[in-house]
Amino acid sequence: MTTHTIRKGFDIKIAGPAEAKIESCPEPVLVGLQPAEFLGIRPKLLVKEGQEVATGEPVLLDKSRPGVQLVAPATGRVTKVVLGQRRFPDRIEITPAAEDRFFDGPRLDADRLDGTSRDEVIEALEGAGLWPYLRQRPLGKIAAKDRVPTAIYVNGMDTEPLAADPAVAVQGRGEALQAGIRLLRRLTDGPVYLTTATGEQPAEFRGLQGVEQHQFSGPHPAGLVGTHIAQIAPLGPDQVVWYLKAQEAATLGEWVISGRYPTHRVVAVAGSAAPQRRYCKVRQGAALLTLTGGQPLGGDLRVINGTVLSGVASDAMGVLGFYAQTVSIIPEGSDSRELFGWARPQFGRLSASRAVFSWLMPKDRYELDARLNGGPRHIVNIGQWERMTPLDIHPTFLVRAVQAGDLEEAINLGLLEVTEEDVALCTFADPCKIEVGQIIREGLDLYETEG
Amino acid sequence: MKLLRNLVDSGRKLYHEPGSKLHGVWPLLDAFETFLFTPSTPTGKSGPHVRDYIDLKRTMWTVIVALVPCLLWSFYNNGYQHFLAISQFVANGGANPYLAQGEVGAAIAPQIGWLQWVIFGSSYAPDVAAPGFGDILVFGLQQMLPILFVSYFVGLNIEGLFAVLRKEEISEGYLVTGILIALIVPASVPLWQLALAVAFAVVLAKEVFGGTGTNIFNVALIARAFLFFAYPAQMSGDFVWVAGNGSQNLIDGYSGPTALAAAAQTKLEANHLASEGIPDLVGSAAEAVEAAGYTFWDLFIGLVPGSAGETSALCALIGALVLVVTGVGSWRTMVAGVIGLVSASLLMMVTAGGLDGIGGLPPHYHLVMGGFAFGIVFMATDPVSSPETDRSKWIYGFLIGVTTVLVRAVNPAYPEGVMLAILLLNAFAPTIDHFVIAANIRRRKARFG
Repeated sequence: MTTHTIRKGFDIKIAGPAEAKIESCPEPVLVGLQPAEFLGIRPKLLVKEGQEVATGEPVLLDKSRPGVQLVAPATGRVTKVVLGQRRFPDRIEITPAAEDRFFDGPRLDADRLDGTSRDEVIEALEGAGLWPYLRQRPLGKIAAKDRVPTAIYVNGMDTEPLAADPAVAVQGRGEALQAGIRLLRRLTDGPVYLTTATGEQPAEFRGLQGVEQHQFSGPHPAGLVGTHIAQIAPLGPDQVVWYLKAQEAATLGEWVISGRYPTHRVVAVAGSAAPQRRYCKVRQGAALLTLTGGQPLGGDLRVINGTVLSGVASDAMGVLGFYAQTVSIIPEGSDSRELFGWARPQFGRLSASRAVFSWLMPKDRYELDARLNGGPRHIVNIGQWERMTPLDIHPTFLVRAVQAGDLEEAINLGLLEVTEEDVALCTFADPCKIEVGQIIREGLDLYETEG
Repeated sequence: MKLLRNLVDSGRKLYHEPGSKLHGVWPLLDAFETFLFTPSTPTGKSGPHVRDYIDLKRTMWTVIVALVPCLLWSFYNNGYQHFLAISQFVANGGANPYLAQGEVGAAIAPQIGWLQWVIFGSSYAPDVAAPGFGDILVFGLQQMLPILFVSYFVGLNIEGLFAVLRKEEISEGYLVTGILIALIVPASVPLWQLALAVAFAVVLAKEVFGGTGTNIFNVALIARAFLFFAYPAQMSGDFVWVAGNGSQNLIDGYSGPTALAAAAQTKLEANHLASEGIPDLVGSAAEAVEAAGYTFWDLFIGLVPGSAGETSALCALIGALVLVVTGVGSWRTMVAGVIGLVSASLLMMVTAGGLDGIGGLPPHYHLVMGGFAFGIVFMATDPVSSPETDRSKWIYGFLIGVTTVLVRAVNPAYPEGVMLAILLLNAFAPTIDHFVIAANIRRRKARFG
């Protein structure tokens, strides 16, 4: 086991962490899929409104990645397909029946797993609708099966603000996690890494076979896979690694063991505006209302599928995202404006900079709302991005290279080592309010079309 | 406050939406609105959803706070130098400009400045040999307030104009530049020249490049350089550093050389004496500075003639503390600049024989003389015109220190080197960054052999 210490970065101490106990949520009255959360997807619907589907039955496939498909997380009737711009299906809504009827999809024999070929495993994962859990670097998209990854990273820690603690999420699922890792070992000739926080390890992580464990300490982004890759084995030219979160590996393992589509996930509900802050065991794709007590949330709130750094804001009828392990609920703050806010010392406002004087009297947790706290400007570099970046890259120069459309320079400067989540802290801490993540994604898109 | 907020909210309706009555000039109104109340603009739907409380306004405000000691000092020192000069002038037989001169009937009226007239009345006759604190401060304010006003008025109007043309929010960069310009010009600067310099610098050194964040040179230094090259008579020599009243300098004939000029003189006089076959008896540069009436502590505190607000190394040091603690100014640039200055001046002392001119000046004098302390703290650290990686900041700061000594010692016409040093290194900043970045790229490639 190796320990890595990350020094640069910042922990956003936002109010409202979830209490570390798992409750079972009621079954949702609506489940759904939102294809837009899969970057670059070109969905082709396999179901029509009014059609009955079984749990695990394919609902749509991705024309841009042959073989990849999404399946129904519950048994029931497809009640609505919400179409967006250019007839893109924004949401496929299913009204669940009382009982699960499982679709007879592909399965793997748990006992003979170690003898199964890589192609068989891939085909079965795709058929079961679980393939999208495997994502790849570079790009941070669904893994491309035609390339063998040099390693697979199973992330057993999360340093994003209010994020679900993977140690809680996999509680009591040690056997499934082990099965998931055996499965992953079929997909790579290289190592499978388990990355965890330092300190005492939960029972589920101890004694796992077939993984190389690395521990990380330090402020966010110490828990991001991008940081782990750069510390453990930086990506060489033409190398690809795959990654997923510990709970996702356990979900794969549950599918291997039971042979049926694993329907439930453990999700942290957190944030200062969340009515109840706790971990929920809830059906995948459940309407977010299920997590907030069934009542529509009143007032000026933002419900986020994911964390406040990397999640996506959801509308009132939104459903739990495929990857979301955290649902954050924070105030919008759309009516809050401070008189001379920029000139006052602001002892009570969170900042990574000492030009906001809260560092003189630090608090454990800060109320944050969803305001920009400033106006967009050109880059004026007072070093905030660099203070947030433990990777050996110069974010300012990388961003400028992307903005100038200089792909070669951008790649030389580390474009392929990062995704939105790795630079989210830069966006957070930037006095000029530049959307660094969007620029990085533009660069990655450019790489895909030209590179 | 609630009333004000309602006023702002209803005012917002007049310009915020496209098509509303005043939408054409929204950047101006938005600047005013966000000056009063922080904006409530929401973050995007795909995150990050929460943001740091720092913005560019606060960043620039922090620099302004750091500049306050220098600003206050400029109010005091310009008055102090004024009365000191007059009292010496009078002691040497000159006429006191605050008293009527000449025969009864043909008398020249005493010359009193506008603020002195407002506060003390038309019969103001200060004791020039022992002026009170009020006398000093009123004169200093009388010189500085118009300079500040002209600097901000011209600069902000041009910024506003370009923001409206570009349809983007007004950037706060000029809030700092405006004070910087006021502090680095002589307090005797003619205001029309200052206005021209500001307009030149803001338009040609900043707006044509795209505004704050995209300029290559420090805007305040460009304004200073414009004045220096366009109006050398008003901007250099021994006669400009102490301000008087009226358009005609009433203490004309009073020569108040800066400490740097005094040190530079030693070389010229030494040569002169040598050419006449007289042995070199001038003494060291440091002695020449002391002979001109400036002790080290005068120089450190800043009680010497010079540009309006950059004489005090002490005030610059306080400002440096604010910038470094808040993380807004780069301590690397400052430390590297001091290291560069000290090592270059030590080298100069050793190799130049230790006597002639500024080259013979010991490092601790270099640190406190002229505008070096002010320049390295407030202008070398300008985040836009300086290089951006930590490593390049070390190189950049060091070279500014070295170049400052070189300009001071080698250039006989203009002994103040820090302005030219910073401008020169501004030009090289992208090159320094380029090499540091190239090294980073090589290092990253080397990880795979």
